[in-house]
Amino acid sequence: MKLLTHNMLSCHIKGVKNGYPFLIEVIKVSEHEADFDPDFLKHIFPRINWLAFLQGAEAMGCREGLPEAPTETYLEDEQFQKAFHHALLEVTLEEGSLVCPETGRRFPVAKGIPNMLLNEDEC
Amino acid sequence: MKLKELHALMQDIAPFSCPKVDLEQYPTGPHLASRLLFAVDSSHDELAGRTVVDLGCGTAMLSIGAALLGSRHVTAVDIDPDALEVAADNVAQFEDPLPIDFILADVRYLSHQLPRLRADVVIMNPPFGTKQKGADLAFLRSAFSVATTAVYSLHKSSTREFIAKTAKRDLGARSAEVLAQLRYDLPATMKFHRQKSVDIEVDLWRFEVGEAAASRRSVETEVCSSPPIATPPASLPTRGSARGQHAIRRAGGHQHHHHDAVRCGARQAGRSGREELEVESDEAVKEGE
Repeated sequence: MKLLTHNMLSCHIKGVKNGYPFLIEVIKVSEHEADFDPDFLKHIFPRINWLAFLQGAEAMGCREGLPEAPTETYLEDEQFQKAFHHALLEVTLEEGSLVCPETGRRFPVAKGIPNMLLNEDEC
Repeated sequence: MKLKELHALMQDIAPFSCPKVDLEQYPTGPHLASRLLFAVDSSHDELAGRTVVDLGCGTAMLSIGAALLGSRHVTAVDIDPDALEVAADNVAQFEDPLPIDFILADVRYLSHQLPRLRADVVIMNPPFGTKQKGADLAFLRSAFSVATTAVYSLHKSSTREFIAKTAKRDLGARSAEVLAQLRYDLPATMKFHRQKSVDIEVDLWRFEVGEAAASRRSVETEVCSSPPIATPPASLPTRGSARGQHAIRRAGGHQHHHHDAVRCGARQAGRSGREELEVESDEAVKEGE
């Protein structure tokens, strides 16, 4: 699970109001190269919840080089592009958990795949 | 990338080891998948540089194809952990890591359970609703809650009018177009009646999502078995462009199948820089058999 995916996951157990973003418990993280595409970064930037992204990056060890509150103009800066690209697309949570910020319920991540299935009593 | 290249790269994608009938796990063979994705890519150029969600990804055939065609991030969702295990192995086969993330989740409840999931394009080969009634519709609803530009989906031809109406009236689709018609030839192992096999005609749809969906682009501070046979669509409401008339011929089985593998490559004609599929002649198909 990469941070781009984490940015779109939330907890909707019955009754939960503040299930976003998931806290990330890391057991194992891996890194690999992804094709660098600045146009794609411009395309995806407006859809990223930056606060959630920073929190996730902190947990996954790739927070470095990410500004607190970038604006669209940052997207022209190559250093920002590289840091954004790396944290968004090149770091994978292999083993760990996504933890609901409200209930503490753990959604396990195994072999990079988060198990988001809810139990019957949670729907 | 040329169609032949794409097909070759997808050759070794493994199918379901034990397809689950209740989940309607009909495999999408590499021949069909590559031609389907190529039709999607060449008719609207909506995959490269974009994000994709694959609902009911199974063994990730469509996701892998989308990634090979240049999607920058693919999120593949399925309810079956066994299928995802095969899917992950399939992705791992590629030397250059593919930008695919898997999620184990119930696609039918996506808009309730994962309401922030978004992508430019949704591609899917959903259940037809023969085992779980209404599954095809549930998948379609979920697709429209995810896609910000377009949904590509396969549905039984017998539901064509219903699907078009539902998409436009209930799901807010701006347009609904059948890009191609295909035929699934399901052998008796899928337990359909006493007949040796059953043909199911299927439409490949492109839906353009409506305004409400498109405006979600920015964040608030919120079968197992034989590959399908394609025939050109008869009299379909298309946009009047020849691009709508793709025909994808049947071929290429996996060793898994009862039937011998039938191969036929579709010729490509360059037309103003775009590649299109041509209908393969009957002789060529017979030769392969």
